[in-house]
Amino acid sequence: SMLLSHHRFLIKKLWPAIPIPDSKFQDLFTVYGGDFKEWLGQTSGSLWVTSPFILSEECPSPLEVLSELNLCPPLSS
Amino acid sequence: AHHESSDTRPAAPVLRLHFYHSSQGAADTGTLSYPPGDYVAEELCIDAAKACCISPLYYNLFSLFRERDKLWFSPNHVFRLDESASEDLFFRIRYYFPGWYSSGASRAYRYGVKKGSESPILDDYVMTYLFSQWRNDFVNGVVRISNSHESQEECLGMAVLDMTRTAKERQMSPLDIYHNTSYKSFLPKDMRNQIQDCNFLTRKRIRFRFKRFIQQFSQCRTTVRDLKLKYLISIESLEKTFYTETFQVREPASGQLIILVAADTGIQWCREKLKDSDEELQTLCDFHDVTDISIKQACKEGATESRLVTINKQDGKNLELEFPSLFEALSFASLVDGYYRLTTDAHHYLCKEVAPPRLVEAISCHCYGPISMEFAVSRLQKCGDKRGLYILRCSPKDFNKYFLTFPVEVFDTVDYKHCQITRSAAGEFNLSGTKRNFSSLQELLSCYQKETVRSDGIVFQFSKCCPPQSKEKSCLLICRSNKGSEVPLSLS
Repeated sequence: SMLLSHHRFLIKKLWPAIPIPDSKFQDLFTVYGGDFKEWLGQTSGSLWVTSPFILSEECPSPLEVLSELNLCPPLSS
Repeated sequence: AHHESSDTRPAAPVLRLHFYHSSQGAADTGTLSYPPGDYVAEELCIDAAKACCISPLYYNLFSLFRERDKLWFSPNHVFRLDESASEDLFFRIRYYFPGWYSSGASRAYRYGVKKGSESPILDDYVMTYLFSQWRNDFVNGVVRISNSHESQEECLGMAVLDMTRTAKERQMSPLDIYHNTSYKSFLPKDMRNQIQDCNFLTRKRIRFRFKRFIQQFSQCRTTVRDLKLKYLISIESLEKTFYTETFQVREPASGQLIILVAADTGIQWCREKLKDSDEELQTLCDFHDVTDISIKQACKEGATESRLVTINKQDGKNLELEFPSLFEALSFASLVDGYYRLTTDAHHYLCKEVAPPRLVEAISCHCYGPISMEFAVSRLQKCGDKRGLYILRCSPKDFNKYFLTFPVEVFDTVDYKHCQITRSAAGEFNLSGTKRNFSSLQELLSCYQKETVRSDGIVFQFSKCCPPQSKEKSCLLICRSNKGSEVPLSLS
């Protein structure tokens, strides 16, 4: 058993566990068939569907000040 | 808003305002340059926001940051720069809300006019900016990442996302990118060095597994946007430091403390030696517990630099924290003040020493922030659509426009008009369709409130302002992912 643990030690030294990216994408290919959006939505607790805050178009209303109209002649446009 | 030097010959730029991402596409970073002069931080932020397509609704998530001394500036800070000055500032997202991407139970969102019309905290422009900012912090080692096996796998996963994203943007295959650029350049600096320290065989194994996965991942159906989104979600779970600010302070009773500020947890503290263990964090208070903050010189011999920050709370108690310098005290105060406006009351400031100048101006004339047209109309409806009633609000799209929104009776129904006010580069205000310019919004209003005006044949007056209500829920206010049930509903 001395030999065995020494053997394990050597393996660990030469062949240590390495970090791999695969583990962070579990089920992406097996369950979701490579559909990243679907996988992301399911693993992140559902995402906003419409992303941008939609702002209605602002259309400024025309305006005249009556006292200004009386004082000045209308400008030709 | 800034004063150019009186000298007419072009002066060499002394202030460079950097951003991580520009709307112009091609270049990944951009810079605005300024000649000597006086510049208010808020106006510089607005310049950068315009260059990066950040709309008024989102720009209060940003602040100016100086990398040299890791200092954030309050919106009212004035940079006085002469010919010999040299200043480099970064336009950065300072206020971050975890869970902003989620629409599930733990989501964070902006309040809507009614239930069901909530909206996301960020739009795609802000998300793209956040990606560029955090990618910079991640790769350049601005934020330290743990070197646990778990974190290293997360970092490799992010490198896969980033390499695939780069490939898509350049319309190349991920494998081409892999062959042209070392995969290590997509990893944090520290991790690059750790891999470099491994023996040849281990390095080769890591590289081989990365290449094999990049190949498999390139079969995925995905978009640049989703790759960026996943990258941000990974960073959020990887390290809180990306969105938590810390300050070293002295507290009269407890001595040296570390103060931590983040959106979800409010203001917390821990003893200096315990800063790495989460369990020891104690909550000082949440943003909505604060009533005001004051800063004064700490009267102590030999320590004239330090400042005493007093946080007054709703329960009548207060907290006194001693910061080593005025700048750090102001940075802390503006952080809490900014979070307060985003979570509790969009039209109020806690500390006059850091109050944003445009907010002070808006408060003086009861002007709303960049609320939507729908919100303005809904507010007028709640006030009974009375004749003469109006709402003054900042444009949600343009930093230099305002709207006067008011109800008018057309036959038997109520219609709403939106008259536009423009702020010129010189800071003069003009109500569209009128001939006079005013030096402040207040002057403009007090003049036209006495006048009779006409729009599309309808004659009316702006007689009574409908001001923002204290702590009113609108799209300017954010409900945090963990606070949904705690915050009472709007009283309006």
